[in-house]
Amino acid sequence: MKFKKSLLALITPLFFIACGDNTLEHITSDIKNLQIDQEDIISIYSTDKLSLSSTVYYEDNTSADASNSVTWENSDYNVTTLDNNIIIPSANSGEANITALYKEISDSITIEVIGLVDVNSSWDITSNDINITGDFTLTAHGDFVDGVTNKLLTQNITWESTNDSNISISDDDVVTLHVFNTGEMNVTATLFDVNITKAYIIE
Amino acid sequence: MSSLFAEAKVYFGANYGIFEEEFLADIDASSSTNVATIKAGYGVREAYAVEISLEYIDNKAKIFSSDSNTEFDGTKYGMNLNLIKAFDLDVYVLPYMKAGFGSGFFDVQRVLQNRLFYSSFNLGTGVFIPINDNLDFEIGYEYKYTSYESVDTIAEQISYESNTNIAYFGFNVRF
Repeated sequence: MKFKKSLLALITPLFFIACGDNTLEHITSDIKNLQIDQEDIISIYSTDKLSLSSTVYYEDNTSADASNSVTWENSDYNVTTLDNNIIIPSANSGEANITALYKEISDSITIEVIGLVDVNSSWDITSNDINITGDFTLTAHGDFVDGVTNKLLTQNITWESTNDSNISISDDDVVTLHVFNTGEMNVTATLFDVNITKAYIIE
Repeated sequence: MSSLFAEAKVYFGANYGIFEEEFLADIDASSSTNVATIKAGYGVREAYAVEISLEYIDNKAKIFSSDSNTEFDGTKYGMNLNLIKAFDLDVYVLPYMKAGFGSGFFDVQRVLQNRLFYSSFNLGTGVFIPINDNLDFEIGYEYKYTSYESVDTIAEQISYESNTNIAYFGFNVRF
């Protein structure tokens, strides 16, 4: 019993003293703010598209890309739709607020969509000289409500063709028609559910 | 085995000790403080026990909180479940080994997080010092491998792990 008491008396005081170091500065820099990288107000034609990005800034003045971490929200789907961080405008002019949101942190910008004067009549296919086999560039142009006329339409437009011809679209939005056969051929462009079809005779 | 069950007792106790934590992966961070534990178990002092404990760690380090007005990260509250194997070697004390796991939480002050959870694997050894059939003191050492909930920086989730050494003494009252 005496041994036990002596052992306890010897060891017990040691446990009241924690003698190591304590870190007093946090090891992971905290968030200062989250920002959408584009300007606060952006104008975009209804036949263009725009990729947004966001950056998180930290209190130690470093930053990191947050484009794929945030949730992108849209205030008005009549004006534009969102494919993750890609703005895809609708046919109508108008404004929508786009928000990059992560938990309770967010940043917003305004998108102004400039629509066609009339989606049914203010645009057309402008590739007319197709009459032999080979490759041809297809284009469509339109007039917009801000006064810009004959603007090349590159987004929100789809192309189809007949007579076993093919259509390819390059990364820089150049549309190429590959004509292989003679005979009658139709090319149809669809913009916001409005179709325009041109008939060609291939000789 | 049936006699072991016959000798098994419920016990309650408490521990108090020193807590020394070092973070892994070249993270220069450490925490040194005291830890208090209350516990309840069931078993035979000379053979085995299963033990559940509640842990109180008075944090004296600021490793996660970014708020300049916060002096330390919050107190850690944990719970552990350990299995204990003791050995009766006919000496003054009863050596034991133990192993188990635990989890807990503590408050932090960050932009996106105000509480972090953690989990741990525990290994320990020590001795019971029997006073009589119903009371014993205990001196021990415990190692914990702790994995913390990731710190959210939006762009990435950063995980931290640590090694912790705990030396403690305590007592157990057996019924």
